[in-house]
Amino acid sequence: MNFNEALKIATRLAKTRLAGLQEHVFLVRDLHGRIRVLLKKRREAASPFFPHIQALVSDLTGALGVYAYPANDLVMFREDLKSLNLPDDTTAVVLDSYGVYKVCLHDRLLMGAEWSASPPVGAPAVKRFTLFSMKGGVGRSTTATILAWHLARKGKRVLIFDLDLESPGVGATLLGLDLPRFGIVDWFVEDALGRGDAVLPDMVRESTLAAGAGTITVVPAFGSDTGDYLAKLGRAYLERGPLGHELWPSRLKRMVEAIERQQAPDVVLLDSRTGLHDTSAALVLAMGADTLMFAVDTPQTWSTYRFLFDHWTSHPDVALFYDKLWVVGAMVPDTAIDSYVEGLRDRAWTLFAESLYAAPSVARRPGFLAPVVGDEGGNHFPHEIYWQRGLMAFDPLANWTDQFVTAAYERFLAWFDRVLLEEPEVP
Amino acid sequence: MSTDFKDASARHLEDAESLLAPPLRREANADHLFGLSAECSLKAVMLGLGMTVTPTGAPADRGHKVHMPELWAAFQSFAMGQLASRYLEPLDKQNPFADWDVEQRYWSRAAVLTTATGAHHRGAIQCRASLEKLLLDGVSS
Repeated sequence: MNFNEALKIATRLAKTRLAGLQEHVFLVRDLHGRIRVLLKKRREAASPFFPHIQALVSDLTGALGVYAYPANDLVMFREDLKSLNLPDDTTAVVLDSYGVYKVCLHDRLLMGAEWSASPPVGAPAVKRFTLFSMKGGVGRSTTATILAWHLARKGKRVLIFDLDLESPGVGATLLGLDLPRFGIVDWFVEDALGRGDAVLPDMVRESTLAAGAGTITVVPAFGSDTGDYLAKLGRAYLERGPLGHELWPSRLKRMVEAIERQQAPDVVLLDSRTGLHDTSAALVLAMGADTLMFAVDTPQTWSTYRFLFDHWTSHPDVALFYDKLWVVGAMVPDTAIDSYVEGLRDRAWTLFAESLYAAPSVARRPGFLAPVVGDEGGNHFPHEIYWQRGLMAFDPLANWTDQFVTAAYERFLAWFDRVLLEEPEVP
Repeated sequence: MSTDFKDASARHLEDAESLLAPPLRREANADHLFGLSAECSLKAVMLGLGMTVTPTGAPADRGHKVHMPELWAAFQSFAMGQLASRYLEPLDKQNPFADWDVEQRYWSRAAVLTTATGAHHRGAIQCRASLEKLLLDGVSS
């Protein structure tokens, strides 16, 4: 018996009792990984449902050992938990079903719950793009900088947020030492005390990198008056706003929307931190953004993306967001390019084909046909950015060379304009 | 040991809500029980997070052996780190029990500030939400 087997066994045992219980059974897996059952309400001993509850308790305690609660604590009732918004069968992960009744999972996580959150309904007022990488050092922040420069050159008003709070980068890259007084961590700390508005006007600064008619407005992680960054970072993820309990993605969204109202940008870029962190989940799922997912063709890249994509195949709303995820082939090496790109594409396709493209709620979409490996419009199809020696130790304010940027990014930027900005192709 | 903060929190909240609802509308005693329920909820959470207790189940630390309104602040100071922060999040920063007093059980009905009962009710529900979150997380047992 282990963590995985316990849930499988519990699901099987709960399923056999659905007909007798005549209600959905929620398996609650606590922070330790122990399983208990959530039902609607208590039943009297004379109730026809009572023996089925008793039998389920006995089945689970008998089969699961330390992975279940003791019999007297095994069942919880919604009528005792009225202060919480518990998920119902339409918003929870369904493990199995019998007729109309379902076995659902309610997973209690210390962190990472945001990867299961629902995306917002409707498109945001302004186009947002999240830049996300599973591993560091793949040129994600460099790409954010170059993308901002490219869009500004085309006349766009670009607003870029440095949300890699544990390892801020894009703010300093675009602004150098010319920072606004405050940054994103300051807003989170002040907002928890209802004072977020006081720092909002002093959180943005225009980058001198912008050339042409457009602008690049930067919201850095920290500003010139931030002071003790760690003291603020240690409080930045509090799930509490000025009006009390508020999930972190909702707080983030309030900040982003307030600055969007202030700046009226054409395009918003959100530079995310690396890896499976809740803040990245907020940027990928909660902002209604298209996400550029950076990948280099290594086993560790694919195995980590696989964890996430497999998790998403049972996400109730995966059909609403799988087609906003785009693979970026990052730092394509300058030797044997064709075979490298082919391998990258094959593995990206395998990942999508075996997870998101095959997810029941995606496959059920009317007219959905899973893209084939060579389909350039498929979300799996990697868009290449080429490794360039001249972009190492990238410091664009001090040393900008069009030649290297063009060599690395020309193809990627053309795709971005055509597909993500939906601009007509230049003949 | 007869102390059971978890059960007492539910009992006081249920009774307070029954007293407050029509036709009874017995606000003075409802108000008193909202404060006691909130206290029991927070003490149950603190117990789950490692608060030390005496053999009878009462908090060992004098700073924790307090009623509302003092307990609200004591809990805010007690919560530290990622796990405890989860249970702080349902609570308002402003203490809704600032005008509540455990001694009001000895007061006349007229002396109890029933205009604050709504806020005390919401405060008790927030404390209960914190406890229910802890129970679902399996941190209490």
